[in-house]
This record gives sequence, C-alpha cells and structure tokens, in this order.
Amino acid sequence: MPVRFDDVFYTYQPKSPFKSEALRGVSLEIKDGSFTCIVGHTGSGKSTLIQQMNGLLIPSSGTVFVNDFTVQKSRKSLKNLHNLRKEVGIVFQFARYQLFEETIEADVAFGPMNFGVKKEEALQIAHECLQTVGIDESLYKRSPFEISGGQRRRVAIAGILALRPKILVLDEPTAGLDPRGAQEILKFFKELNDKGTTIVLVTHDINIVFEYATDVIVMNEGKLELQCSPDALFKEDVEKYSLETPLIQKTVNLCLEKGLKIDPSKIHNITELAQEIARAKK
Amino acid sequence: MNASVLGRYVEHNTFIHKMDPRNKIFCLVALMVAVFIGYKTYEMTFIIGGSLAILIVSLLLIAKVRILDVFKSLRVLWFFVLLLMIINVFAPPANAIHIAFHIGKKAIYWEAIFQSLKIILRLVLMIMLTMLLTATTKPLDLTYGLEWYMTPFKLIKFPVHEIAMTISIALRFIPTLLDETERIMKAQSSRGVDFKHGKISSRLKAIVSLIIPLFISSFQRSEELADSMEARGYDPKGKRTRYRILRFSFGDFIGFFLCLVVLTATIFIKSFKWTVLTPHFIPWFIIALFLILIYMILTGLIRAVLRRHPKEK
Repeated sequence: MPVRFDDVFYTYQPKSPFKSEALRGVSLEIKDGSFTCIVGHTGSGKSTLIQQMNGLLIPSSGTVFVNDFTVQKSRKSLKNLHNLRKEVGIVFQFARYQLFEETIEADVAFGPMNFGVKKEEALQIAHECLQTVGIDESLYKRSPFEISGGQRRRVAIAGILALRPKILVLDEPTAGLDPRGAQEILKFFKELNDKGTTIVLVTHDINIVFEYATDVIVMNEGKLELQCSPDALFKEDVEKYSLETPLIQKTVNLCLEKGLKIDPSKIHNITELAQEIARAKK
Repeated sequence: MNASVLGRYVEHNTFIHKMDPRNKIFCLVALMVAVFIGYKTYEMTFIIGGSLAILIVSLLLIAKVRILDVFKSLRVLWFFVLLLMIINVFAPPANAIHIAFHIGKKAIYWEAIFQSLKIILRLVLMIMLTMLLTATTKPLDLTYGLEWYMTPFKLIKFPVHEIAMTISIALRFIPTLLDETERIMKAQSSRGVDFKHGKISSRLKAIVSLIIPLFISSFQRSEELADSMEARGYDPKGKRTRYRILRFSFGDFIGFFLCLVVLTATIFIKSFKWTVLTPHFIPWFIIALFLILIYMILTGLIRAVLRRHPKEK
C-alpha cells in the first residue's frame, strides 16, 4: 500500500496568538516505488507535509495512510507510531540535529538498536549503510563532529538507512553540498529507488525534479497545487506555479526555437539532450 | 513554533504594553511584595489576597493576556503544588487548633489547609505577575530596564552593559533553543527514539541523544553570533546610543502611583492595630478600599486611552 493523504489539515499552535495553518485540506497519493519530488515556496507546507508521514506531526483533521498504518487524531493510531517510523525514514536538512555518538559507526547503529536489534548486528548494518553512502572505512571510528559537512550529511542519511525504511523521505538533501557531492548523493538515491525504495524528496532545485522525479507534487500556501508526472509539468509553463524552468528544458526550448527538430519527450537528462541534438543535426 | 506560553512576548497595543519597562519592573516588584506580605489572621490574608487577585486578573485582561495561558503554564507546577499541599496538611503549623476532619487517626487542621491555600494563592499570583511583565514587555526593553536599574553599579566598575547584553542575548535565544530542541527531538524520533515511554536506561540514552546535538548546535550558534557581532564592529567598551529612548509618560505615572498605593495599603493594613474598629468592619473596609483602587485604575486607563486616541473631528 502506498502513502495516501485524505483531506489533511494541520494547524501549528491552535487556539493561541501564534496560530498558523500549515496544511489546508491536502489529499494526495505517493505510489510505491516512485521517486516523488515535492516543490513549492518556503512556507508552502512542504516540511509539515512530510512530517505527517511518520507521525512526527499528527493531522489536526483528516487521515494519513502509510502501508498498513493509519495516522489520525485518535489514541489508537498513536500507539503504533514507533513501528511506523521503521517503515518511513525521514532525513532532516541539518545533520547536526541528529549526530551525537562518539563514533560514526555507533551513531549509525543507534537507529536499529532503538528497534531492538542486537549491538553486533546493528554495527554490521551500520557498516553496510556507511559503505552504501560512500563513507570510507577509515572514518568509522572517528567522531562525527570531526568530518566535513558533506560527509556528515552522508552519515546522517546512513543513520536513517540503517532502519531499512521502505519509504525514504529527504528534506533538501543537497542544500549546502558542493555540486559534485550533490550529484553523487542524488545518483545514490536513484540507485536505492531502482532497488525498490520509495523516495520522497523535498527540494528547491527544479533541475533535480527534471532529471530524477517520476512524480511531482507542487505545494502552495498549504494546499496541493498540482500532482503529476514531470513530463506533464514541464509541458506547461511552470513559471505560473512560481517555479523555474529547468536548464535542460530551457535548452530544449531554445533548440526548438532555432528550428532544431528534437523530440522533447525523449529528453530526461543531459546525455539524452546531446544525443537528440546530434540526431537532429544529421 | 514551540507551544510554550510562559514568558513569551505577545504583541498587542495596550496601555500596559506601552508602559515604560523601568516602571513595569518597579510595579512588578511592588505588587510582588504586596502579594507576599503576611497577615495575622487567615481571613485577612484571603481578603487581601483575593483583592490582589482581582486586581492582577483585571490587569491581565487589560493587557489581553489570555487567562487560559496562565493556567497552562501553571500546569507544569501541579506536582509541586500537590507536594506542598501534602506536606502542609500533614505537618500542621504549631498554632493549629481547629480540627477540620480526621483521616484515620490523624487530625487535619483548618490552619494547615489554609496555610497551603495561602501558598498556592501566592504562587499563582506570582506567576500571573511575572507573565504580565514578560507578555507585555519585549525582552530587549526588559534588559534596558534592568540595565537602567543597575546603572549605579557602574561606579564600582561592575560590567553593567556586558551583563545586560548577555541577559538580552540569553533571552533572545530561548525561543530559538526551544525550536531547536523540537527539531532534534523530531530527528531522533525518526530514528526510533522514544522520549516518553520506555525503561529508565533507554530514556537516559534518549536524553543524551537530545542534549549533545543541542550543545553542539548552541556552541556553533554562539560562535556565529560572536563573529557577526564583531564583524559589525561591536565593542562592549564603546559608548553606545539607543534607537529607542525610554520615556516616562502620564500612563506610567498612574501605574507607578497605583502600585505604590497598593503596596502602602497592604503594609498599612498589616501594621495597623485595629483597636478602634470592630472586627466586622475590617473586611468591608478592605473591600471598599480595593473597589476604589480598581475604580482608580479604570479611570487612569480611560484617561490614558483618551490621551492616546483623541476623538477625531
């Protein structure tokens, strides 16, 4: 079963002077095995939306269905949250909110141990996960506070991966990473996605959406503005949703303007763009 | 984003919000003393306590502080209150003579019950007063006020400005730290940490997983703050001017005067020997006095409001 939002409302600090409505009647579905990107302005409710998925926030009204779990405002549904968090792993934007152990491997092993995995086994899982995110073995015994920001981000991601979640939710995972690090980490998410993990990625970078997403969710002022495939989104004028046009799309548009007969539906990344241009030139 | 209500500034445009912070600090202290003055008899304590409660609640209403919020912040103290109750009721004061009822063979005295009620009343009033101050005064203004009161200490080379700056930064970062705590708790909950349930050992571990990132992040923040202050040329020894100059207005004068009256009245009542008046007269006298006081506050308020919003012609 996928993730399904059914008319979800969320209000921060209800009945107080600081009250703010973050979600206002959101209904959507995130398919199993999809690579879903969530885009929208700062303050459009993206972060609130993802926090509903593992019960960090409970909808003020409405229901969230995740696999066999139901998250709603009732006592019964709140008991199961612990197990839900094993299904849905959320990686927050700042790794510094998460790392605390003395060594990197211990920090990654911390997650599985919370779910009752024995220490040796947890360390085993930690090593595997650190390997998948590309942390060198020589760093395993180092403190997570000695390494660079990019590496810390990877360790934080490994910490969530160690829970073996079926759905991985990432809040702006590329923010503050250098371009190469960002590319590497995105490729890695793509690989995970190919192996069957559902990826939900919150981002401001429209180029990521163009290259990786199979599904796009556009949020605006706490409401779902649009949910469709990237192809359908970029066929329209995306600027009306206050989004940028991706670079590749811009190039495609310019090529078409100059009379090159290329087929936009075949272009999803830079290589395909080059191929299409070469083909059209012949 | 955090839902803590106690000690948070709430933006409103009322008479109390506009008062001079220096004056508000004085008034807080004066009323606090009035609340804590003890009287010989419990009747007296409750009559005066009740009158003060009416006064403070009406001030809260004027300042648009929600009474519900006050009780929300009191909720944290319920355990403390309960403990106080138990200790007081089972260990009665030495002069206790009036037995209320028995629990088993243990006699419960009226005095003990009154004593604990008195403490609770004072606690509630104290919290209400503090909330009145913090909800209506911006933290920065509050530190200006404190700095003003500490000015004489400058003569003995006491670092008044530095301390005021430290306090204002600390106050400024309370909401930030609370937000941060919430974020860290969310990040760790996502990793299966359970902050609310579980064995003591696992909850201890949960707390560690919260405190270490909190410390790291605070150190990082303070370093960044120090750098950015230096980058903008901050020098603690330098002479500084203020953007906002504190002014004592007419409304301030009224507030100052009223608090003084309340304080004097309570002290007067405490020290006055009621030999001439019959005991029945005392409560009525006090009620009348406080009715007059409340009337005066209202008059002062109306005048202040009229002064600030003159009728448009």
